[in-house]
Amino acid sequence: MLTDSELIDNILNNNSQKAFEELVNRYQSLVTKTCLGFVSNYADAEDIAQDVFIEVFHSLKNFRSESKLSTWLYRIAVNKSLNFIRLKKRHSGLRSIESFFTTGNSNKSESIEIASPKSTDADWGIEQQEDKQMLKKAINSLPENQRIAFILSKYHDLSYKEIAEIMSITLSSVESLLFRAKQNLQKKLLKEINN
Amino acid sequence: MNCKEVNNNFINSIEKSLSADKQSAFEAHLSSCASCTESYRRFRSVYQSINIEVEGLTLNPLLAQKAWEKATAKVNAIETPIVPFRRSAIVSIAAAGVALGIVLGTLLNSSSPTVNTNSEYSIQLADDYFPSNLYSPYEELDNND
Repeated sequence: MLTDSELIDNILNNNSQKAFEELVNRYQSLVTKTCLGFVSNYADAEDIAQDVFIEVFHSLKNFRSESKLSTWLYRIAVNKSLNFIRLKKRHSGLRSIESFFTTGNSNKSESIEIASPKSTDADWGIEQQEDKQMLKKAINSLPENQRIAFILSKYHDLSYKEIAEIMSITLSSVESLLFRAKQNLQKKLLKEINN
Repeated sequence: MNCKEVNNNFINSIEKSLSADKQSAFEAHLSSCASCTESYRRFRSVYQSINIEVEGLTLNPLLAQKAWEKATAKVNAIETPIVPFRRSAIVSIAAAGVALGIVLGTLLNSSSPTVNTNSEYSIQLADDYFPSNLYSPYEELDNND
């Protein structure tokens, strides 16, 4: 089995499709799981993962081998996911303005927006879907740095050291971010559950 | 532990990060409090939906091929430069448009005929068709008398 750097050399020097596909297959789970932490459904996570690997293909020449490839991939996946959410928010804002003028009721599009992720994950039961939506809503309401630290920790079981490296922050910052993320999440979930 | 302390330790208990003493106090409270037991059951179900989501993840075997096709298609395509429009630019252009509209509207309004009221306009119109120095219907009326 070729190492990461051998695969990268193959892609850069020979434009090898086989090497690229091997690289994607090796890290697909890591990237898709990261994206899944930020979005509500598998289809969106897969779309972002595809974008991540396209970006990787175009930026491989800029990759400095001092850091691990996985660290670099985590960073790209996090950035792409955050951009995806920002774009989606902007589009849904525009859509609600548009529907306000066309139908005179902006709430209608919001209900469609909330319902759409559920319909894609048909295997989930209704209660599980509700649980997942509640958790996603709470995670997405966390401040950005807390959200990133929490997702890297919960979706990948990464150590504080690895999270610190990916986020380019100190170990104590990771510890504090995770502590605050869990506290905030606990408050938000309890509020939702007790409502 | 009281209800508040128990509620504040839900995540710690799920992640098994409570000390043995605290965990047993936590469990003792749950066994005597139906409300906290129900909240904890619901909370655990929500919090652990992450694990179900991650475990249920099935990877697309065609992703690598699709990514390759898109990545190389981008390289081969003739790239046309796209001029990015920032939100601030769009807002500035809209504001400039509104300001221009106000200026043009004001100018056009001020360059309209100097007559203001309908009666003045009617007199001017009548004067254009029947100039009073050449023809006056009152003169004929006077002659017939």
